Amino acid sequence: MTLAIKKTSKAKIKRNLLPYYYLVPAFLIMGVITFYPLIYQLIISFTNFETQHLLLGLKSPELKFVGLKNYMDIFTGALPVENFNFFRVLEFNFWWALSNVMLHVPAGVLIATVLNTEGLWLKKIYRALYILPVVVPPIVVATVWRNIFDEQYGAMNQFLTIVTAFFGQTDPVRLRWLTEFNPPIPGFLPGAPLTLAYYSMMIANFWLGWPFMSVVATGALQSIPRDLYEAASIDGATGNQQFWNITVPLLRPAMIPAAVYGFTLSFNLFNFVFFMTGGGPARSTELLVTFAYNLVRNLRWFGVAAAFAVIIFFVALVVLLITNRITRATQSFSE
Amino acid sequence: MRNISFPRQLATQIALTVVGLFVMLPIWGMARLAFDGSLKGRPTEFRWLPKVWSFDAFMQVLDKPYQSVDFHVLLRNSLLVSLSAALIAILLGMSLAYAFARFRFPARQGGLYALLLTAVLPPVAFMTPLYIILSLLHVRTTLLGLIITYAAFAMPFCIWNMRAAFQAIPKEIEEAAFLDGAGDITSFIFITLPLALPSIAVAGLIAFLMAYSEFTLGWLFVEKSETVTLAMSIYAIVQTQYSGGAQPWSYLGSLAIIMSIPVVIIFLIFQRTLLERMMFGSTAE
Repeated sequence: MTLAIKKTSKAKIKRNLLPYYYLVPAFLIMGVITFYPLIYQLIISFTNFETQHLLLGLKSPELKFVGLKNYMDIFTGALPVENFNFFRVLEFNFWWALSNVMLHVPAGVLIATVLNTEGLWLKKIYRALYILPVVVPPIVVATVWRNIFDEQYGAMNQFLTIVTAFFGQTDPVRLRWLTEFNPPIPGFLPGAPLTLAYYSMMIANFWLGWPFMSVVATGALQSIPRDLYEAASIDGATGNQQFWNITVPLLRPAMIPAAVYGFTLSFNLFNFVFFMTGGGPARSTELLVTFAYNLVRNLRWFGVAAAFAVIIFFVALVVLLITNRITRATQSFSE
Repeated sequence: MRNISFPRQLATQIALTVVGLFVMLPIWGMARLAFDGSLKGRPTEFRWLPKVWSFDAFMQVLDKPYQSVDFHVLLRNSLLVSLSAALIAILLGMSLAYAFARFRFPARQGGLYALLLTAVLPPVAFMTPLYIILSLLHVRTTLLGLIITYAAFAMPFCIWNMRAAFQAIPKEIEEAAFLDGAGDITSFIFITLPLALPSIAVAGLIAFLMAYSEFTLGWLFVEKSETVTLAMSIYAIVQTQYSGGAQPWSYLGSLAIIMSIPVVIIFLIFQRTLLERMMFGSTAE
């Protein structure tokens, strides 16, 4: 402590223990719900844990240790699951999260900047409207997006029909948004085909993602001092120059953590994938989380699922270390 | 910045309206389903407006939305679970966040990393062990089990948000209070807490939302119909519909709208605070 008063050694011990009193309650709950399950997953990932072990007395299931078999099965694709290739899913998952964030952040910043223009009409209405995607529970929206991309009566194909009719095309558009397997741009991402389902999910997730970025950017924009812009315009800087030399650098500290958060949200985006495509067609839009869910919920291979969870853990760790390098998020301001 | 010229104003308004239409598209689609009385199952044609206007779906949903469970039971469960989870996440998280913001102690950095890691991990990855440990504690099928689980998953984000807020408050203010004779707890309650309140509110709101719309874990744990929440019932309705269930999609639409109303109202009230505070405390000055 900064108060440099002489203390007896007993009081000193008490002082040293003090932080831990604050930590105990929260770590107790997180210990039970998050840290213990992590260790448990690690143990059963080396076993043949299946449904029968879950049903027969939970207290002491007799497990057979199978070594690294679960892991080998996942990596080599030896699981009796159709169209499963771990590295393709991994690559797709990274690309999916990255491509989403690269769209959401600029769009959010752009619209926040436009909405921050002085003298713009109806600002409040736009802000209230644009916050809706953050607010409406995602489970609800996912089903609606699935409808929109429906082959026959979906809004997207109807809209495209109107547009193509305008250019003289008479046939109605019948794009199989969620089920077509052949990628529209072959070889765009080597190793993992990006099907139409990927693009429809991008559109849906764009709807979900940019308003959040816009909210964060608006908050940061409002803390940029006005006089910076005034000084810049006295010096003759154009609006464009002001944007790139004042707005963008000053938004960076707020946008990078938000982008990292958005990356992890997209990386683990369960709702949309599960409801819109279910990972299909042919597992081309499967993410690590949806596959793990399938393993437990439908196939009930708990051992394999645990190995999968451990792999997800290490992937998350790598993501964390990389993003932490970028943001230095664990560094506190006083250090 | 100066006031903008009229042509630019007009162009901006048009662009923003287009964006607004894009934002409204799914919400409009949902409302159309909800008010359409002509639907027998899946919607089989595209329309902008309902074919037959009707409030029947709303009436049905407000009575018994899912199987024979009363709406008020679902709503009560949802609110009870998400409010309690948010409260626990804030209270316990606050004490932890405060310790991380104010004290130096061994394993501090490690603890921060562990927290961040749990924030990055998807809850779905914990399904099996959670199922087992909650069963062993005899809380798996109860609302209490859900509350603890959701609180634990919301906690990392809450702690992160609140820690930044506590750090932004100068230590000197607390020390001044300390010299004036205030104890640790007094100075926390009367000085630190009020200053950090906006961030705490945001953390609580996010925790509430996470618990309010979570259904994957809940659906795995639930056994009795008395402990089903709104989000789970929507999931259940969707599942039966995709497998050829006979319920009209209007139910789904109206339940979705009803479920969104409380959250939208809360957000509109808090919007000002949110706009200023939803920056993860990355005090961008």
